[in-house]
Amino acid sequence: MATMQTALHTPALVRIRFVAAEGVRVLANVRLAAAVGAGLALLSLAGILVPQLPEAASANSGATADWLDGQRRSIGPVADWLYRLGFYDIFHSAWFVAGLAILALSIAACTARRLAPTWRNVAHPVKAVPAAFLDASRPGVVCGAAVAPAALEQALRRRRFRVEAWKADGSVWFFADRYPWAQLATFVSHAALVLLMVGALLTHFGGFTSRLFIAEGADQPVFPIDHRPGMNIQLASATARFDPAGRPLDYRSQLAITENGSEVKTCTVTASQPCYYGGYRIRQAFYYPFGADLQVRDLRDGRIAYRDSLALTDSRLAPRLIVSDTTGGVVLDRTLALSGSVLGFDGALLSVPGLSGPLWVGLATGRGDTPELALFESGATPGGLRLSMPLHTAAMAGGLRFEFADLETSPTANADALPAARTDGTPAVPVLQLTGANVSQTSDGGPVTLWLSGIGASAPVSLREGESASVGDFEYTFVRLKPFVGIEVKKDRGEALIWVGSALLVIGLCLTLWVPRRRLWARLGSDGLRITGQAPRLANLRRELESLAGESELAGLSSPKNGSQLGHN
Amino acid sequence: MEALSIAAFWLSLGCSALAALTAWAVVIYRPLHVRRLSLATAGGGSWDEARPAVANLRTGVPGIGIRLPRLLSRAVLAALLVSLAARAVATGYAPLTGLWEFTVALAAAVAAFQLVFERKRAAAVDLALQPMVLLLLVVAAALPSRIEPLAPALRSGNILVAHVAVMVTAYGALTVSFAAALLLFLQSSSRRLARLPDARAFDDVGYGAVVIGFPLLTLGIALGAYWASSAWGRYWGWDPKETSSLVTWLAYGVYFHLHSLRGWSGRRSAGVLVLAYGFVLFSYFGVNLWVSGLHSYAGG
Repeated sequence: MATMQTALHTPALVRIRFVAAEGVRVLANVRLAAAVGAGLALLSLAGILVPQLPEAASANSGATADWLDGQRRSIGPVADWLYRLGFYDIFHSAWFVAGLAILALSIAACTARRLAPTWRNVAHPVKAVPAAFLDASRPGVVCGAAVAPAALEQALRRRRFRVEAWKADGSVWFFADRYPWAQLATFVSHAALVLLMVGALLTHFGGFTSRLFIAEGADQPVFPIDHRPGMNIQLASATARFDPAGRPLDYRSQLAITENGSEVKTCTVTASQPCYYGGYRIRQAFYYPFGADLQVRDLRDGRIAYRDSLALTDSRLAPRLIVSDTTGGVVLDRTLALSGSVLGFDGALLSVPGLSGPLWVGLATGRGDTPELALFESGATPGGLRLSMPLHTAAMAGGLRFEFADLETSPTANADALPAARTDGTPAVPVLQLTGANVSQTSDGGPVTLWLSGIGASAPVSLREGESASVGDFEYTFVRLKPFVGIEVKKDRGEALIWVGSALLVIGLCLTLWVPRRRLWARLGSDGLRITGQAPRLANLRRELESLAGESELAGLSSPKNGSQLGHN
Repeated sequence: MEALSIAAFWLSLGCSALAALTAWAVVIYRPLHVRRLSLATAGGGSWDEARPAVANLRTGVPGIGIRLPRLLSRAVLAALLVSLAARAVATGYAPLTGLWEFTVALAAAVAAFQLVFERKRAAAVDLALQPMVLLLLVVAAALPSRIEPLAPALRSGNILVAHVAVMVTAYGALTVSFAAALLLFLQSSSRRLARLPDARAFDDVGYGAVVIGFPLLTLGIALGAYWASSAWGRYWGWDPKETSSLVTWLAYGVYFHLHSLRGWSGRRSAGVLVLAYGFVLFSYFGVNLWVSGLHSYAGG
C-alpha cells in the first residue's frame, strides 16, 4: 500500500497529472471553443468561395492534374499554393480535420469539468440560504403584507415549482425549483455534436455505395460478381414527364429487386422518393433518355448476331440543314451526323435531290468562334458548288437555297462490339449518333434518327425507330429509343447516428434555451415575505417575483388592514 | 389567384414603405415636439396651454404617430399572408420553392416576429425592422415572380416544406437580432435617440431573437439533411448552400459562447451578430444567385 502511494506521488506522475489538468482546463475554455468554431466557419467559407476538386477527379491523379491546370490558367501560381495548403479539398484538409478534433476534445473537456458540479446543482441544490443572502440578493422582492405560507406554496405549485418549506428562527423558509434538469440539456446538445462527428466518420469509412446504370428492361448486380449474396436490380420501366416547354415534371422508375434469383421486392422510385430493402437505400440518381436498342442479324445464316441497349453518353455537334428549291419547296430538311473528317473538320457526304453528285458538308469554326457550315461538291471541278454559311444564315447556289438552320448537340457512342463489314481489311470502329432527340423529346429537328457509321457503308446509315438497313452481310435494326436510369444503392452505417445526433442537438438546444427554469428562495416571517431567485438571462425575474408575491398576498389575505406594501431591493 | 397574390404583394410593399416612414417620423418628430414644448413654456406660456402636448408625450407623439406604424405593420403581415396563400392556391403547393417566394415568406416572418417582439416590450426594434421588411419586399419586387413548374426533386412533400418553412422562420428571428444589433450601434453608450431604450435593451432583444432563431436554424438544417438523404442520396455533401448554412450556424454558436463571457455583451457581441447575419444573407441570396450547386433551382 505504501509502495502504491509512493508511486502515485512520484514527480513524473505529478507532472503528468498537472499537464493533463492544464490540458483539460485549456480545452474547456469557452474562448477556445469560440475560436475553433470561428476557425471552422472561416474554413467552410473558404470551401464555398474556393473551387473544390470534384470527387470524381480526386481519385485519379491525372484528372487531378488536369483540373489543377485549369486553376493555374485562372489564377496562376497561387493555385499551387492553394493546392499544397489543402484549400482545393478543404473539408478533407488537415486544417479542417484538426479543427473538428479540437472541437470534439474541447466538448469532452468542458463536459468533464462541468458535468459533476452541474449534476450536484440539479440533484443536491443549496436549499437553505443565510438570511443575509436573501436580504442582499437582487432581484429581491419584499412584501410587507400578511401572506399565508400555504398561499405562497400554492402560488408556487401553480407555477409548476417543486416546493420545500420548513420552519426556523421564527420564520417559514421556502425553497422552490422549476425544471432544474434543463441545466443538463446543454450536455445533451454538446454530446450530440460529438455524435454527429462520429456518425460522419462512420459514413465516410463504413459506407457502401454502388452506382448502376441500367437500361429499361435490363438488370444489374448490386455487388461484384463474387460477392455474397447476389442482389440484382431490374429496371422494369422508366418514365419521364415534361411540360410543353421541355421542363421536367417527373421521373419515375419501376424496380424489381431479386436476391439469389428470387424476386424479393418491387417498388417505384422517383427523383425524391427512394426505395428501401435490407438496410439498403435504392434511389434514382438520374434519368438518361438517349439509349438505343439495337439488333444486328447475320444475313448469311439469319441468326441474331447482336442485340443490346447502348447508352449514347458522348456528344457531338450535329448541324441542321434545310435545302429548298426556287419555288420555296423544301427538298431536304435533315440534322446531319458528321462522321467523317476532312482537313480536320467534322463532315459527312450528303445526297441532295436536284444535284448531280453528293455534297460534302463540314462544320468549321469561323471568326469569333461562330460555327460555320461548309458545303462543296465532292470531286467538283472549278465552278462547282462551294458555300460557307454561319449559323442561322442561308445562301443560294446551284439553283437551291441552303440554310444552316440549327446546331444541336447530339448523343453519340462508340459501339466496339457491333458486328460490321470489313470492307478494306482495316478494323471498323462503329459509331452511333442520335439526331433529332432531346431530353424532353420536344426537338423540332425532325424525328429521332439513329446514324450508324463505321460499319462498312460509304456514308452513315440513318435509321428511324423500327427501321432496318442492310450493309454487307448484316442487317441493322434500330428497335427503339430506350432510356437508361442511374440507380444508386447505398448503405450508410453512420446515418442512424446522424439522425439521433440531430434530434438530440435540437432537443438539447430547445431545453437549454426555451425551458423557463427558475430557482427561488423565500422567507416568510413577522416582517413579511422576502423572496429572491435565479433565472436565465432573459427572464424578467423581478416581475415574476412581484406577481408571485402579489398573488400570494391576495390569496392569503386574512385581514384587510394589511395593505399591499411591495418593494424591492 | 396569381393576380391576387401579386396585388397583395404590392399592397404589402406600399404599406411597408408607409410603416417605415411613419416609424422614423415619430422618432424624429418627438424631440422637435419636446423642444417646441419647452420653448412654449419658457416663453411664458401657461401650464394649461402645455397640458395637451404633455398628454401627447405620454401616449405618443402624436397618438396616431405611434399607432399608425403598428397598424401598418399588421397590414403588411396580413397582405403578405394573403399573397402567400393565394400563391399556394394558384400553384397547388406550398409557396416556398423559388427565391421570390422565399423572400416574400421571409418578409412575412420578419413582420410576424415584429409583432412578437412588440408584445415583449421591445417595440423600438421596429425602427430597424420596418426598413428591413421594406428592403426585402423591394428585393422581391426585382425578382421574377412568375409561377414555374416544380422541379421533380422538389415534389417530395412535407419534409421539404417543413425544412424551408423552418429555415425562413429562423432567418426571420435572426433578422430581428440583426435589427437589434444595428440599433445597439446607433444608440451606443451615449444614447443618441432619447426616445429609444438604452443599448442594453437592444442587447437583450438581439440575444432573445437568437434564442428563438438558433434552435430553429438547427432544426431547419437537420430537416434539410433528412430531405437531402432521400432526394440526393446523402445527408451532407458540402453543397454551397449546406456549407453556408453550417457557417451561419457556427457563427451564431460562437455568438452564444462569446455572449456568456464577461466584456462580450453590448457592442462586441452586436458586431458578431452583424457578421453572423451577413452569413444569413449570403446563404439566402448569395449562394442562390452567384454560386452554383444543388440548390440552384431555388435561384429563380
